[in-house]
Formats: sequence, C-alpha cells, structure tokens
Amino acid sequence: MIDALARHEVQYVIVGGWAAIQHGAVRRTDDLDICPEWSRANLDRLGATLRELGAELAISPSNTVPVPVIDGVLLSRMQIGTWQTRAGGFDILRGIPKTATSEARFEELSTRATTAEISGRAILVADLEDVVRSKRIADRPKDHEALPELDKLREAAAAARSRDAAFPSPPSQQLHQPPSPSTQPQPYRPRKGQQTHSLERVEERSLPELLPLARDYCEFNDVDPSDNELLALFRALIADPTHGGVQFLARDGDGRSVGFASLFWTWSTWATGRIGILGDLYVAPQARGTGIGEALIEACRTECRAHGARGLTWSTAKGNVRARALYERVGARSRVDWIDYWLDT
Amino acid sequence: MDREFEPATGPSPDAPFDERQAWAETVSFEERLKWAAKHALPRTDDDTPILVGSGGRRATSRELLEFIAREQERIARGG
Repeated sequence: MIDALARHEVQYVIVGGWAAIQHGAVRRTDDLDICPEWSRANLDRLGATLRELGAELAISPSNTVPVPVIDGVLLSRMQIGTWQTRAGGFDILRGIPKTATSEARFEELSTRATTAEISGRAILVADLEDVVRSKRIADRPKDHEALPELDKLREAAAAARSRDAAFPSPPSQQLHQPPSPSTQPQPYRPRKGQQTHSLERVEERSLPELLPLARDYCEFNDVDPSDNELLALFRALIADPTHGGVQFLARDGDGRSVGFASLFWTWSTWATGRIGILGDLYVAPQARGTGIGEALIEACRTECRAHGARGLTWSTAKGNVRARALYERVGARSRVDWIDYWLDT
Repeated sequence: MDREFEPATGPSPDAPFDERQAWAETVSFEERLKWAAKHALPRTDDDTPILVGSGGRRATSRELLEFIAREQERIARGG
C-alpha cells in the first residue's frame, strides 16, 4: 500500500494503529489508516491507488462490495471510508477527532508529524499527542483498550522532553553552512540505542533553543538580523510548513540542542516539480564530527521524499572544505560550472 | 498491512506492557508492523464508513449500497 501511495504521489499522514506502532506501541492491527490532503486532485490520485489495489468498500465487518469507479468526489463524500484491498485493510479518514466537535486534518497533522520509513519510503506519521487525543475522543472499545499503553508512551515522551528542557542551550559557534532560503516540516527521531543524537521538527516550544544556534550561524555568515526578525521567520515556517518549509533541531546524546537545518520549498521547471532548498545547516563546534550534520541532511532528504520533492539543493562557499567534504560524503554532487547570483530586492 | 511482509516473531499479544515494550525497543517499525498484522483483530462495527453530513453516524449497509449506486450514476454521467 505504501508503494502504491507513493507511485500515485498521494499526500497523506498515517494515523491510527500504525501511527501508535511507530511511536512504540505494540498494537494488533492489519489496517492502514490515513488522513489524506483533502483536495480533489489528491483524492483523485488516492482513488487511482485504491483501484490499483483492487479495493472494495467494507460496508460491514464481514462484507465488502466492489466500487467500479472511485474518483475524488466519491472519496470526498465519505468522512471515513473503510476499504479492503489485496494488501490489507485501508481506512481513509478526512480527519481525526481533535475535540468533541472538530477534527484535525492533514494540514494540521502534517505540521506536527514525524517521519518514518517503510520499505525504504519516507512517510508522515501523526504525532503521538494527536493519536492519543483522537482515541480518547473517539471513545470506542478498542480505543479504550489502546489508551493505557499509549498513555505510558506519552508519559515517557514527556519525561524525555522535561529532561531535555533541563539543559540550557550550549554556547555554540558557527560551522558548516550552506546558504540561505526557505523550509517545510517533519520530525525525524532515530530509535533509542541506534544513535547518540536525535532530531526533532522545530515547533514554537523549540524556539528558545533554536534562536541562539541561529544567532551563531548568522554571526558566522557576517549578518546580524534581530531576534524578532529571526523569530518571525521561524514562526512563518511553523505556520505554513506545507508551502514554506521546515526546520529540524538536533540534540546530542545528553539532550542538548547542538544544531539545526532549514529546508525550504520551491519549484523547479528543469526538475519538473517541487524541490527542497537546504537553506541552513549548522552544528555547534563541540558536536561536529559526530554524524549530526549527516543526520540533518538525511532528515531534509527524507522530508523531501515525503513531500514529493524531486531533489534537495544548496550552495556553499568554495573555501568551506570541511562542509564540502560532508556534502560529498552524503552523496551530493556539485555543479562546478555554475555560479550563484543574488539580487537585492 | 502489506501482504509481502513476512510473519514476525515477538511477544504474545497478552504479554504485559513491559515485556512487549522491551521487545518493541529492539526491533524496527516494520518489524512491529509485521507483528501487528500477524496478530490482527477482525474488523468491528466501529470500522465501517461514515458519510459526510450524517452527523458522524456509521452508515448502514443499505445506505452504503445506495451511496455507491448514486456515485456510479454520477460518474457515468460525467459528473
């Protein structure tokens, strides 16, 4: 199903049981639940995906019926569609409960979502808080059954965040630096034990830790924007990650914030589609050489894949040998015959 | 769950939280999905469609058959 969704370039966030599992739960489920972006074009692509998977509508727990033609309009008329495909159960939700009378849809969920990988494909997974809240409000017997475990995972995550907050941001300095520009969202958290650092998507609560890192980065680049200007930029990205961009904050093994990356969205005619610009990449001196730079680039690359972007581009100073070595190491290739231009506006 | 995923080993579905969690910490997301599919529960009455405008009520089988028929007519008319 994940492959089929990718082939048809469907934009969606995984919710429900799979999301709970991604956050560490051990849940029994065969259904993939998604909240797709609710535009006609995206739902048309989702309809094509269902047809490819031989989907039938589950009209009762034990009965499915074929639906000869599935288009975006048909899908848009189902707040929840429960389908059975050759690959398993596949439920399509317009949104998940946010309050008793409102729902969180793709646009909102994607700003807080994490990035995971299945079969080598990057996917967006709803944040644990969103999953827990939706199950508490949905209030079905199976939600009641799931909540104790999810609450424990949530408490563990909250404890980890408190621990992180106990460490002030380290004095940082400048470092590798690609150039400037824009961003879009998703968090990436390596599983515990696999790496000594972690990454998270920048949110409002991250800004006190991001700001000093950004200041050091700007100082290295001989620019001096005000804190308010920087915060306005960060908040613009948080408010519109789908069109603007995303930032990632890196923490070392002790939970201290030690780096960040900014990924901005734009379009490219020659690439015939959306592309990502790695606007900023910064790792504090004491954390360099630990793989955090590579991890930040990989998070941006993963985010690009999840967002349907064709590639990731950036520029750097020719003399920044250390940064260039990193970029070569991750497989990026420079275009030596090209020159960057800038025009003040 | 994609059928191509192989069956997974893992704890009993009835194992205590700590035991299941200890296992989950050692395996990947895909491994946990394999386990989830292997031990999947059947659909329930809570796993059926809700039509827009129904106030959040699960649609009956009859309503859904009528809905499908209407939609196929619309599509056939090019609407």
